[in-house]
Amino acid sequence: MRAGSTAVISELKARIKGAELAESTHSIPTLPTHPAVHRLLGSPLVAGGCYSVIGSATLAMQFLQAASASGTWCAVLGVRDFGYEYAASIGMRLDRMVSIPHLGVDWMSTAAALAGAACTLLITPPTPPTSAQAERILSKLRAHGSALVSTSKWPHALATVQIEATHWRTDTDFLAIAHRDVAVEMRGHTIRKSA
Amino acid sequence: MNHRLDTTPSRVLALILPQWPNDPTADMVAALSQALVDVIPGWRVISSRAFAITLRGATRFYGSEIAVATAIHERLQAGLDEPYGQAQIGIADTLGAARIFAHGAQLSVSALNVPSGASPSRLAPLDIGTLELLQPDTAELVSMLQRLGVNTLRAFADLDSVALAARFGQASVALHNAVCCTDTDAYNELSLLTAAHDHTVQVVFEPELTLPEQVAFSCVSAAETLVANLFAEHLVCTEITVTTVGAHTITKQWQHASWFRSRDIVDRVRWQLAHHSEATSTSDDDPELQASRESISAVIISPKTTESVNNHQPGLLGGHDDGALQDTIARLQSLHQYDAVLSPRIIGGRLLHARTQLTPFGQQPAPAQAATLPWPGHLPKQTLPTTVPRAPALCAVHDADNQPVTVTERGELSAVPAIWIHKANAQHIHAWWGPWELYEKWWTDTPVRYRIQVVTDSGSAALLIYSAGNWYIEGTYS
Repeated sequence: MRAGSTAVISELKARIKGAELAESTHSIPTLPTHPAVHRLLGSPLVAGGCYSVIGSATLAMQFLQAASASGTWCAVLGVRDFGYEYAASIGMRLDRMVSIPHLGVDWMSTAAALAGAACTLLITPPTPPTSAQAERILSKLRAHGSALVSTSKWPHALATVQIEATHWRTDTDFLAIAHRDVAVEMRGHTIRKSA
Repeated sequence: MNHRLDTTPSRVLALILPQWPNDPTADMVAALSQALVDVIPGWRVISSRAFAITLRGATRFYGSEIAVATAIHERLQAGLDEPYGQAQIGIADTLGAARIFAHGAQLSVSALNVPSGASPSRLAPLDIGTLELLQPDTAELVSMLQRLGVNTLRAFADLDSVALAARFGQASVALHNAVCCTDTDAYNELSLLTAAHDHTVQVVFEPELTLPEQVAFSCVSAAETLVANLFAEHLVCTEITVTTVGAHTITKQWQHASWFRSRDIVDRVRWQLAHHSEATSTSDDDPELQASRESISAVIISPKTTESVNNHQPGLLGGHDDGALQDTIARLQSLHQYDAVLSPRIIGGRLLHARTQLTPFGQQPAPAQAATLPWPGHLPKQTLPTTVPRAPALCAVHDADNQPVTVTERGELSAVPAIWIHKANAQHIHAWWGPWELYEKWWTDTPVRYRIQVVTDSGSAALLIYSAGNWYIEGTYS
């Protein structure tokens, strides 16, 4: 009996660890994920996970794209200059999107409420969230199976992706987001990725 | 089980108004529903000119089925203008049979009353084309049956309903049940005839109230009454008109993403007043203006669009994903301003910020030109910036000598752009594309606008607009 429950506890611990590291996709609920994001993370987006994508609106949108295209609700919070037309052009569904461009002082409650209602959240927090605040949202995300992408640092993020360098191809007729290569830093690993 | 259900089937009366116009006025509809309800309450609607009702209580009240039919005839003749009041009535054990008999009744005959149990034998010899009386779009089915040698309702009734379903679909089974007089559920599936009641509620304030919160709070019970009255008629409203009566009487329409609960109505009242006082006060800090806030003497709330409760079952049960989201958003909207939570859509236009329309969630977006129209000068898909300020932000483009760059009348840059200055932050331009002219209303005097794209040494990329000597940021690529 005692030996059995110890085994269960250690199994649970292993599963929690697995969820936190997002290394294993077995038995962890995941969300539809853009192939480029899947390659970058090495796994699909974890339902109940937080991600921090710093320095690239394109990449942040790519994190949300597949879930949005599949018809789930996406909440865009505090992003005043969100490029809706670009989002639509990559297949995100605007008819399944709500936007709160101006978050108030009590933005935490707003984010927590939507974490329990929408499938994906993109947020530019007006103030850096404290660990306790992030925990509160995380519990909502886990309970509802939704995922959050922050455009700045986020405590308890499963992955933090930061643009290190951008190279634009100049031998083209016009400038397009597809004409660039970015080097991103992710949890200390630097990988080259074509955006 | 020590109680017995009354299983004696109730007789069904079907009423058809052959002369009823296709586009009756609202007054005529009201007069008709009033006339019908005066004789017996609880009519069901088959179509705009056909109605049905079960007769159990009415027969007892009027004495006989013929007496009920006579009462209906008299009331319709009295209440409606000629020839609209002319009615054909059929009475039978089941709905389908009653409808067929009603069609068979002559205009002058008071009613075609078929005794209990006699319906199948009376239907049997009728032509198969009679089915079209029950369902207008069955011509194809009828001609197919005729080719199969099924020429009477008797032959149709003899067909196996399972085989019929497999060959002709579920609609044919409904007809089969009607002809076999086994359509016991068909009556219950019809919707109730509702008298065109006015559900408007009014709250009068004596003395007048000034604070939006006060006014809204005083409307709570009226809003609850409105919703409850609608519920009693199996209705919910999706659109309301709120009129606030004061020095400036404001009437505004509000939509709801699902349907209005009483708290949603109260929110709309509060928003309407708060929005108005914001719009009228030139400065929020001016205490005098705050004090002289408009006093409200009455609020009138009337449902504009109502729908059957049945159409909103998922939301009512709360199990639906959208329902949870809409509830959350309704809560956020009542916590914040109603225009805090927005729904985006892309509309027609040339400049990017003007192509995005943000509408308060649940509200009908303002009419706009379609994004799919050809918009000369609009950016191709692959060059869309990923961030777009809600209004183009002023910036500056200088050449290597730090002199402003302009666009000449021939549509060329006056110098090679070298420095991009935005918010006192100067960056060296590494590469640039353009200029491209925005094809706009060239027939007006508005100056021609141009777009260029720039990339700086630090990797920032932006889409800039040149208009009358100034540069603006239309969007950035990040």
